[in-house]
This record gives sequence, C-alpha cells and structure tokens, in this order.
Amino acid sequence: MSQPLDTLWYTRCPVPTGLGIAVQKGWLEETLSRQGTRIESLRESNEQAVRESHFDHTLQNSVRHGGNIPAIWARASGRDTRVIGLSWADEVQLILTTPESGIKTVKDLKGRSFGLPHWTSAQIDFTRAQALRGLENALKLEGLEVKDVELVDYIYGGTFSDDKPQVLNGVSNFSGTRRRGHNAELVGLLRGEVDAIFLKGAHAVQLAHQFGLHTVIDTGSHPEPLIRSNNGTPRTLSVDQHLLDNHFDVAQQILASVVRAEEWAWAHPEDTRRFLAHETNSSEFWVTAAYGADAHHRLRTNLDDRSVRAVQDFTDFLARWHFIPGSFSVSDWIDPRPLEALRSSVATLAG
Amino acid sequence: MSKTLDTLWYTHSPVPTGLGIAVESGRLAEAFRPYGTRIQGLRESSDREVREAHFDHHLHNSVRHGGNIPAIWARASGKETRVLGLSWSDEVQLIVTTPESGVKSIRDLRDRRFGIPKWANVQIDFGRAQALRSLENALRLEGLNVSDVELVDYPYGGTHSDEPIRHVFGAQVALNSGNKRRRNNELIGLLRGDIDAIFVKGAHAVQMADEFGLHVVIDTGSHPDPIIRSNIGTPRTLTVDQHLLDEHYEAAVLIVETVLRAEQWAWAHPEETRRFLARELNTSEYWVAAAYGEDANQRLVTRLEERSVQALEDLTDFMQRHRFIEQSFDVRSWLDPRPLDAVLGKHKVAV
Repeated sequence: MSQPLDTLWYTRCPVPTGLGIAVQKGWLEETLSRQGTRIESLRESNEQAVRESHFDHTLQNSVRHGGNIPAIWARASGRDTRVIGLSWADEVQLILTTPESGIKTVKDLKGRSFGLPHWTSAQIDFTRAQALRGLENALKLEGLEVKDVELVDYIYGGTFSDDKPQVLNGVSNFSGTRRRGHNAELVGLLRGEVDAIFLKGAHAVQLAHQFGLHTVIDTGSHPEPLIRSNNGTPRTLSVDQHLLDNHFDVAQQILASVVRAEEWAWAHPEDTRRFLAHETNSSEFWVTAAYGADAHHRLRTNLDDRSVRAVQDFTDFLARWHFIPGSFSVSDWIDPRPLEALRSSVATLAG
Repeated sequence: MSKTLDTLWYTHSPVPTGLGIAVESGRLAEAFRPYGTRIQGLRESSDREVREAHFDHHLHNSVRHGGNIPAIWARASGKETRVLGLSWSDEVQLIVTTPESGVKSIRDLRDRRFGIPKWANVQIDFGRAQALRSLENALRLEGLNVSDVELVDYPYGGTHSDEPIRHVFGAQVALNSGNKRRRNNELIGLLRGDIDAIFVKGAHAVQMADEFGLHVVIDTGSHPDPIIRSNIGTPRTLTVDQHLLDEHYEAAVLIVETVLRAEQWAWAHPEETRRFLARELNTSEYWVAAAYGEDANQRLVTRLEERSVQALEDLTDFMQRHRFIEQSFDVRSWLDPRPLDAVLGKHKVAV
C-alpha cells in the first residue's frame, strides 16, 4: 500500500452482520493493527456529524455494513462509495393490524388507513422507505397499489444520530434512549387511529405478541426474493472510493474479517444467537423468531446475482418514491475486486 | 438418604433465582443423580393440575423458588408448606404514565384512573396483588391511600397454567398460547389514553417505558425503605412441602445446598449470569442490567435474613387487608431454618 492507513472508521446497523461479529470478536482490529491501522466506531463518536456518517457515508476511510437504504441514498446523493459485498439475512417484515380492525388478509387493506413514520429532519428516512416497501410489495401480490390505501403520517422530529448509544455492562443499546421516537404508528394503531402498520425484525415479533396484534402478511418470508427485498435484504458492505484507491489491501482485509466472522458463525449457532441478541437488544427467543433458528447460517457476504438484482429493484423503488433524486446502475456501484482477490488468495492457499 | 425419593418436582418463576440457575445449569439433576431421584419441572407437565402447583403448591415432594404472593396464598389456604430460604433481588417496580396525562408525581395520582389487571379465573391473582402493593406503597409515601385513586379493572380470562411451559432458547414460553390472552391490556389502555397510570416491573417494564416514552412517576423498587420495596419478588420464597421435610429431610438439605452453590457460582460469573437472566426473562442483557442492576449476579443470595422475614410478614398482612387471603398467619412458624443452618454450618458459606 502506498502509505499506511492511520484510522479506519467502521459502523454497522443493530442487525445481523458479519462486520458486527468481526468487530466484537476483535478480528478486524487484530488484522488491521498488524500494519498500524486503528479502528474507530463512528456511531460511538462524540460528534454528531461523525455519527451521522452512518447514514450519509461522508467520512473518508470508512466501512459500513448495514441497511441498504442509507447506502443507496448516499450514492445517489453523489458520495463516492463502492459496494464490496452484499449479505442477505431474511428477517420478518410484518404488516400488523389489531384483531378489532376486521382486517384478515392483504385484500382487506383496500380503502383502509396505514400509519407511516415520517422523520422530517432526517436526511434519509429509511423507516418510512422500508415500511412503504413492505406495504407496496404486499399489495402487489393482490393486484393492489399503495394508492388503494390511505397513508397517515406519524411525524418524528430530530434525527437518527442525535444520541450516542447507552452502554450498560458493556452492552450497548445502539441508538441511545428513545427521546425522539416512541413507536407513534403503533400507538396510533392501538388507539384505532389507523388500521395497519409495518414493523420488522425481533422488535416486531415481540411487540406483535405483547399487544396481541394480527399479522396480515410477513413479506419477509415470501418465496419471491424481490418481495422479500427491503432495507435489510440484502445489506450492503460499502467503503469509500478513497479507501479503495489508496488502501486497497485494507478493503481486502475488511472483507476477509467479515467472511471469517461469518464462517465462524456457521459453526457456532449458540454464540451467534447471543451475539445477535446483543446487537438487536432483544432476547435470544425473539431473535430466533425474527431471524430463524438457522440465523447463523444466514450470514453470508458475497455478490450474488439475486442480491444485485434486488438492490437494483430497490434503487428503482427509492427513485420512484422520491427518496433519492434518481436511480443509478447498481452494477457500476459494485467493486468486485476485493472479493475476487480474497477468493483467489483462498484458492491459492487451498491449492 | 433414608427413603428413596423417586421424583422431585421443581418450579421457578421466570425471574432471577438460585434454583433457576441450579436447574438450568444441570446442577440440581447432578446433585440428585447419586440418589436415583429424577427431577421434573412441574410447569412443563402435560397435566394442568400439576402445572397449577406452581401457584398452589399442592404437590408432594416439590420445591418452588419464586414470587412470594402465590406461596403466601397457598400457606394461607392450608397447604402444608415451609419456607427454607428467602432471596432478595431488588428490581425496578414502576408506576408509569404518559407524558400527555400531566401526572408528574405521586400526589398527581390523586383522583386519577389507575389500570389494574383482574384475572377472573385464577386461584391467586398475583398480577393484581403486586400492582396494588406498589401503588399502595407509593401513595403511602405522600399520605395517600388506594381509595384516593380510581381503580380501573382490566379483566383477563383463563389461568396462568393453561398451557405447558417449554424452554425455547432459554425463555419460558407457553406452547400454543393465543396472543389474545397474553396481551398487556393495561398498557394498551394507558397508550390509548383510557387511564392515567399503570404498574409494570422488571426488565420488561424498563423496555416498555423506553419504547413508548412513558414517564416514571416512581420506582418503588429503588426506595431506601425495604418495606416500600417489598413486593412479590422482594423477597422471593424458596419453599418445599412438609411431606418432603418429614420423609426426605436430606433431600431438602441437598436442595438448599445446591441453590447456595449455584448462587456462589453466579457471584463469580457476572457475564454468564447476565446471559442466563436474559434468557430466563426473555429479554436482552441490556434490559436485565437496567432492571436488576449491573450487580444482578451479586443479588442472588438465599438466606433467612430478619429484613426479609419482616417484609414477608408485612406482605402477608397486606394480602389479608386486600382480601387476597382469608386471614393472616404467623410467618415465623412458616419458616424452617434447619436445612439452611445445616448447609451454612457444614460449608461455611460466606454470609
């Protein structure tokens, strides 16, 4: 490498990611420290602008593994980022209603009201985008469109990076206390103001159980990958172009750490489940309900065609709904070289 | 042992208990294996009558470590049980309200509506008793009585023993339980604005307060006066039936010894204990630390301390005053300190 990299910034979403495991196991730090590179968590920074880079990816020499919506938005907004891997861990994506609403199936949603979050100050409102995606995909299955339901906005102030994560016993709750957002759509649903809402992941199954909600559909378990594709399916592993240009081997080592973490997960279901419970701040029971008993097998970073097509489809969706100014070519966004290099070095070792 | 004990029935509430750790870690089974005694979880039985013994303690040769309210009720109803130990793990006990209610302090609760569960078909409605206890204790601090607030009943059908319990990824989960019965109707009522305040406790309480931005009026679980903190879980009772003591005294001693050893293990293993508690409570390790303290593992201590005995007396009077039991009884003659004395004398466990 031209000159050694001083600091690599990393960030990941509170969801199952290989990067999350690589960081918690200390493997990323260990690999990079050999050449004098330290790693620093940008979400734990004291500076809001640094924390916000989890969403807008403005920071040089940074890597992010997480929901694709902020990554797509950052790219569409002109950030010079590249995707070096995609991981597809299916998770529950629920459209929920109350038993009292009388809604049983997707068809019943026609003419009914649907509560959507609306973060007015966030650069990219991924919560709204993912809810709309789940809704549109569900309706599509019955020949319906989003305009067939009445959308009701639940306004949130503030941004997603206002607070640092809280840490108790070395366990982080990821995004600080919820001083800003308090499940307004869910409260609206319970109050009977709206007929249905979208929730996903471990919290969705827990809250659905807690309040005895009826699941209209879980788009996350539909056989068609494009119906399942959303913010987390697939997740993007992205770095900035500067890192690739000046520290290509660091990019390669990141990927190697991620793949190592995933391979470790496949062999350690128990430990992985505990790790996922930590990451999502949920119980091992709810993690399993949301991510499957085979959650550890679902951690796989690659550049499969299926994932690439899903990101393209989702990018078009985000453009159509004006979450981004315009669509772009996802294939051009991908830099397959680190993955190819990793594979050929593994092949060399094996040979 | 003098006579062979075929089966020892055990049960522990999904809360921090030494017996819970002894059972789930396999220590209890291991301790009894040399005597040919098999241990069996009564809440996992396919027989509803057996499961109900978690609450009414009617089974011979059974041990229970858990909330004191069912234990007090069983004793008051004439079941021949004895308390071998008391463990006091302070936990949060919250009276919560919504920011919209305008209720800020305990005084503000005057003439407001307080939602309280009412299980119509159960032998002992511990959910109602614990909520009333915390409310009464909170009000007392400001010279108020329960009659100064308006109680709003939230009725529940069914019982707590309708379904066998299974451990699924650590969590005690009722099989085939319809969501309806399990949903938290008081919390829904509070979020809907139908009532002004409710009681919630433990890890679940802190999580729900955070999820919905609830205002904590008071945490009676952190008050300096132990009598104000005393409730269903403070202290928890370790009880066996008189028959076991009469016919299999050595088994009773072995139970106490195993519980104390499990607790000693916990003191030295904060990480593993926290994971165990998170699995048992079906929550995250973060919420365990928030509800039971970062020193949760140190709080697992089963003894017969004077403070705990006094609290148990006070709780027994409370239950009689509110007609959860027909009449109070002498708590001190309910205790059987012999097994604990035997164990502490034998092993010089640090007191």
